[in-house]
Amino acid sequence: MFSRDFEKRLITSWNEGAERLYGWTREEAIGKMPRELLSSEYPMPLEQIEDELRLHGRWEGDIVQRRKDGTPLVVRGRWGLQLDTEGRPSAILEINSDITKQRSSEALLESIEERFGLFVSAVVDYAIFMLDPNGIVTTWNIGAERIKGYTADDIIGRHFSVFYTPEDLADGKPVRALETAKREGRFLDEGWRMRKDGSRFWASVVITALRGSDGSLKGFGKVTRDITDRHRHEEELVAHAEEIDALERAKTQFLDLAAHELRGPLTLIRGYNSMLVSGGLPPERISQIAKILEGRLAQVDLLVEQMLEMARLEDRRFELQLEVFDLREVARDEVAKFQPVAIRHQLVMEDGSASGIVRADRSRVSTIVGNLLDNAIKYSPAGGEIRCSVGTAGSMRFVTVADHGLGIEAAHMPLLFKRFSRLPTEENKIIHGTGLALYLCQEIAHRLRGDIRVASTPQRGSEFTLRLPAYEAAA
Amino acid sequence: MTSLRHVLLVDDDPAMSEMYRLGLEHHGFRVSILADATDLNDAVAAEPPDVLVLDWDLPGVTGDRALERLRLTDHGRRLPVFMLSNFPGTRNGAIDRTFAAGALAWLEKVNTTPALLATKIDEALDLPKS
Repeated sequence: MFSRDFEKRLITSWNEGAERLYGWTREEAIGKMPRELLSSEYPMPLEQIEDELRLHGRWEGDIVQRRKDGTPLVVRGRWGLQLDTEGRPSAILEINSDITKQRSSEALLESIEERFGLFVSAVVDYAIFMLDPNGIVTTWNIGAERIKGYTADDIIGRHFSVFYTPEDLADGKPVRALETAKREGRFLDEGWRMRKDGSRFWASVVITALRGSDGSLKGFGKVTRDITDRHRHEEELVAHAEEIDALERAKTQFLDLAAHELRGPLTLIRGYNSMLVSGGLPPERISQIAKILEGRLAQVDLLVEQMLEMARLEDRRFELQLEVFDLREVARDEVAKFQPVAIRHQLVMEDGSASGIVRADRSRVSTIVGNLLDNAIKYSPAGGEIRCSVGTAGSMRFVTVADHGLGIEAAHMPLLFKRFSRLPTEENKIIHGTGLALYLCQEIAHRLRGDIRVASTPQRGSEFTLRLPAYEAAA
Repeated sequence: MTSLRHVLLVDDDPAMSEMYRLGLEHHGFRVSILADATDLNDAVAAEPPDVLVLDWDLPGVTGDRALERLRLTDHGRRLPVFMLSNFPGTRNGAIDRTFAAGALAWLEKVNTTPALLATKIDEALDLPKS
């Protein structure tokens, strides 16, 4: 506290407090101008302050000054005007208290708040916004605009339930979310949310209850992230894992089936061989038995060939041997081959007059036609006519095998060409098979730029058609 | 030669039943064959065998179920029965049901030559009857 002359602005008194605050002694200070002694920076021109004092008798304001040692300080000045006996201003009493510490922490706080606000509003990857205690949106950042498609003008003042899907709304989810946040402090969720344009995104959401120091609810802070890509990726991974799992199970099942398929022929070979060794076999039966064994060995051969073919396909060791040939020849040969096996069936070959010239892998096409005939016989246990025909459809040539057998239910169609899959029918418990043949046939047909198509009526029969591109002889 | 001991063989695979028939006949049995178990009870009643050899994996009705039904008939009640199959019977409890229905053994075809089957049948028939 010190006083100074009103007109001359020279210090006339200087107390201990002033000595302590500024470091100048009474002797040093008296007679000096405060502005020079203390390097005062007033918040307004000094003349204006003096006018204020003349008018109201007092002035308050913050002044930046320097101590004797040069360190800056901020003081809160509470000045009063002293009048002489005639009522004219004679002196100013300056009571200046140090508010340096207070000011700097206030300033820091202000700047942190300001910067934090800037940071939140500039975050692009997260929607960060606040809700009032009723769920009305009160703030909005650029991330929220980007993720949800609403501008601040669109959304501030509206209820946050607009972000939820109709299903979640019907289920009362937004209300529950706030209730949970209120009760437990926060609410965590992942799920579909709606953008302004009605499209959906997979969101990761945190809602935090904001409470004052007295514990009263001030509102909610909400942070939302768009993790649609990650979600899709996770779903793909899960689907892929399930697929691999299913394939593993199918492979195990196939090994079971294959073992069972091999045990039949093994039983006969071992049994007849033991009889050959012990001489228990009537000599006149030997040639007939040899034929039976040959047939069974052909089955084993077929199964082993299927297993090898599958391994080649999986290993990418698969090579086609392309040549030009007539599908009619292949079909005729295969029908002739199956004629002796088809005891209860009438195998009919319909050559047609159209050419069936294709360029393909002849032995594999034979295998496919053979498999189609084998299936037709196997899956029509009651017998009947099996018709094999060759024909032309546009740029494709085809072989069709039609039976009057069990047929295939529409629901089972998707399983038909799947690896290792056998149709879950009552009949298939008795009819042997590994669930490989049709899968392999279709795979090979695709590699020959053709396909296998099916038409079937349950209990009426099935029609399998192998289609291959026609061969046009180059000039 | 009606005194020959009579084996009834039920198997849907003609190559199998033919092999076991030849082997059993060589060992002095008379063999008759059924391709499925649908008419099993009638066949057993019409010409009661000394031993029944049943495949499990049969069309229409499986071997264990056929055996359960047979046990309810007069001729089938005490008949010695062998299950003869390559079907892995442990997987679906078929083996348990087969033994519960009083079969003497579950024989795996692949390990049962006709000569071995003949030996098993011999042993079974030589058991003292209670």
